[in-house]
Amino acid sequence: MPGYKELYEYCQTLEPKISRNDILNKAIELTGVGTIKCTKTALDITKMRGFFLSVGNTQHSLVRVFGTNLIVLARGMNECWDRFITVKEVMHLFDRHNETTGTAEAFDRLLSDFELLKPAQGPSPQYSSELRSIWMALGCLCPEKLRLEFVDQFNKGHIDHYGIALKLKIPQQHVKYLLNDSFKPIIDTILVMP
Amino acid sequence: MGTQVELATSRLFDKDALAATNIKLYPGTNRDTGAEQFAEQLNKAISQIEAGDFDVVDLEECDK
Repeated sequence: MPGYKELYEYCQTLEPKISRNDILNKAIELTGVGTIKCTKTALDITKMRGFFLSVGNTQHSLVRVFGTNLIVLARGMNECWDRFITVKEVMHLFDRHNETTGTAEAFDRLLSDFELLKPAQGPSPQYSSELRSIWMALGCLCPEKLRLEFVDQFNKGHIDHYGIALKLKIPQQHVKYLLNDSFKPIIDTILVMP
Repeated sequence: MGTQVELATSRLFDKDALAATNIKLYPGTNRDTGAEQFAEQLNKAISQIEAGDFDVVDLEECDK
């Protein structure tokens, strides 16, 4: 995936805890978007932890404050969740055109897929990009060399999920994906996507 | 007034509203959250932001 491949390779040179700002600035450079800002407001985190919004109406008051790209985080989350959700939403700068949620129909389909995927139809491109962005974010926040060290230490019983989460400053519940055998094949598939 | 989804759709996609080109979500802890509840959260967030009820996150200062 052009752009993300360069971002991923850049992140391989970084040391944890990898700064959200470093990832964001590199993503901006690679995608050519002007800006992307981040803000917090009240959200019920049992329902929604955050969202990414790209605004087309440049006359809107929101654009005067934030510019056209905005990440909104729920107030009251810990640093690990703030970091991970920010980076996950930054990954949507790499969405292909057919994956963007820019119409009422696409929005309806995305909400429907979040409710319950329909086996006969398969996931919408919008929903697929949601799933993919989680892996992309993990790929940015944990260099592969370090990930392999964690796998080794975990298998030897020298570290647990909590310890890895603390070193990376990511939510503990996502560590299991990093340690899974499928992680690198999934990232490799994303890296070669057109 | 219509549903929360209808309201969110108008606010997000009407040309004289946000005219959003992309919106993506990070769900919460409850896997039973439905479309109306997602939309309600979006509507509340947009209302708060438009009313000035937000905290700017300075990413340069974070993660230091």
